[in-house]
Amino acid sequence: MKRTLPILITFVIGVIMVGEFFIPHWRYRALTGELLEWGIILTAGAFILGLVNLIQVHLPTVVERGTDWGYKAVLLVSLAVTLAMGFSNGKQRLDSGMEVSFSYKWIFDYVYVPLSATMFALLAFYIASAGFRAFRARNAEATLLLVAAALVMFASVPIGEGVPVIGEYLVALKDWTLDVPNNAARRAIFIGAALGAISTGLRVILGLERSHLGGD
Amino acid sequence: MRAFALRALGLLVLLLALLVCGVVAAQPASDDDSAASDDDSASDDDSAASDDDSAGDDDSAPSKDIASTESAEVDAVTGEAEAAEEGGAVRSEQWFGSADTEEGVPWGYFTLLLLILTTGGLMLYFTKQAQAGKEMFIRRMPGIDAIEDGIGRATEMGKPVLYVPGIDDLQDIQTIASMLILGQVSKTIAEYQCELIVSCCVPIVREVADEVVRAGFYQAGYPDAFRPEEIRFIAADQFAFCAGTNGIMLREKPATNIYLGRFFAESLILAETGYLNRSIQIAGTAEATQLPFFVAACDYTLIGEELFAVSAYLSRDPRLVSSLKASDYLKVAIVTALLVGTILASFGNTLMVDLFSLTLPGN
Repeated sequence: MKRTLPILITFVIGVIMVGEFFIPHWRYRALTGELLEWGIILTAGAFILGLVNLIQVHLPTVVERGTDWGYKAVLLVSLAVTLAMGFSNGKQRLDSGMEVSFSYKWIFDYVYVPLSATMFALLAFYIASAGFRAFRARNAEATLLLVAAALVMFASVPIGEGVPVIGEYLVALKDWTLDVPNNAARRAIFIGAALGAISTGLRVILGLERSHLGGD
Repeated sequence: MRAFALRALGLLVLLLALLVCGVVAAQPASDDDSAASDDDSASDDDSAASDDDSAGDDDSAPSKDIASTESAEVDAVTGEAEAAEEGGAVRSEQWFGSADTEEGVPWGYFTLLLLILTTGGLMLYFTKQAQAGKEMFIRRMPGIDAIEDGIGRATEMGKPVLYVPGIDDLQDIQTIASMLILGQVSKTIAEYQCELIVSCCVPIVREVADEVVRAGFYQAGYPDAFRPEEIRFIAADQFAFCAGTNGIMLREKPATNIYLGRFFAESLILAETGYLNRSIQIAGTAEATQLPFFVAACDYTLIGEELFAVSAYLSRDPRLVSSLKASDYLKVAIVTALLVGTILASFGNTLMVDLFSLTLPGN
């Protein structure tokens, strides 16, 4: 029963939700909408469990002065302060339309946003280092990759387009590379992934896949 | 098989019962709306009748009639629009196809439904064959073999294995596939007596990962070795999660990093940090935009559909391997349809285009 019940629930809910794609009738959508709301409530409830997990993982280290306890203390203090600010009322408006207190908006604007932007900006350096390794012409495939990447990059910037005589041919070749071989490979990946997704979904819905329940 | 068919039949009955419940629950509001609109139209009829009576007495009556008729039409249109839209969504009366296509046969939906039913049928057929003892061949996939090698390496080095199930919600199929793989990976890790850290970006994914890893350790026969504090919720924000996971890599020095699931801009930041940490890295995603980053920075990359085959490959369960065979047959059918469609379209015939056209909401 411990294993059969989850499989039964998965099957019924899975079939209903697959049906949503094929049945646009508003009565059916009312039913699936209700199920989706249950899902949203579950997801929201899981945030409380996430909070508990953060405290369970980091608080003992801070209390016992374990390795890197300072970082964990910063995390817990930041969590407590942001949470407290989140509960206070205010009339400041975030981009999402949510009204928050001045202190919460200050944390959002002057701590959260710059930190996120910094992490995102680091991507440029990571792309450079990964590109340097990927574009080393070690074999025929890597050389082909290097040539294709160099062509696309060069023809995508104004200086490439402005090269006398061959500039327009470079752009045309770049467009062809992106539209034909690149697009063909992408579509093959999409079709394969879509079939894999259907297959995985059906395996779970039909109860063939049980590894998430601890196997047979 | 027969028991499963009976169970499936019983569940379909339950499904219908649930559907009826949903319909009944949604019924009163619509009845009230329609009753109210009926009342409105009845009062409009009354006023029209009284206007007719007084028409001969008043010269201005015709213009008043026109005005009232126009306003009634506007009200009717507004009322219909309100009835048609609830919360921004079209309240369709159709029972099959798309809410946006009111005319014509929705062939694309029939085709897609047929594909899904065919896949399900083939899966059940091959499962039956596998249960009867027929061998199912599955090609070697070095990326998946490397998972076990990586776990062995981590065990020898006495370092943990880091598993990242992507940053998307649990309803995403790639996250679901990742959770299924985590079940197999955690079982192998428990058998090797190695340490596993799971880094999650979504709280509900952490809860599911917790259960999956617990089940894996239990199944391997080492339930006491399971440490729930190693299944960690880092942060719900993409880059905060990325920074936290990078911190784990740099401080706890995992020997093997496994990234399986749906990734976005954080993919390269994670993979490059793992590369600098000299970890063995195995990645897999169906997100085409992130695949080049993983290919550049990881030792092994599972591309697209391979991600969905990992669970079957690792478990070697004939039922799961048979499902791969079913999807391979479907792939052959789709490639054939593509070739036929290309030839037909070249001659101006749009039969295959119509058969595979879907009107998705918002398009």
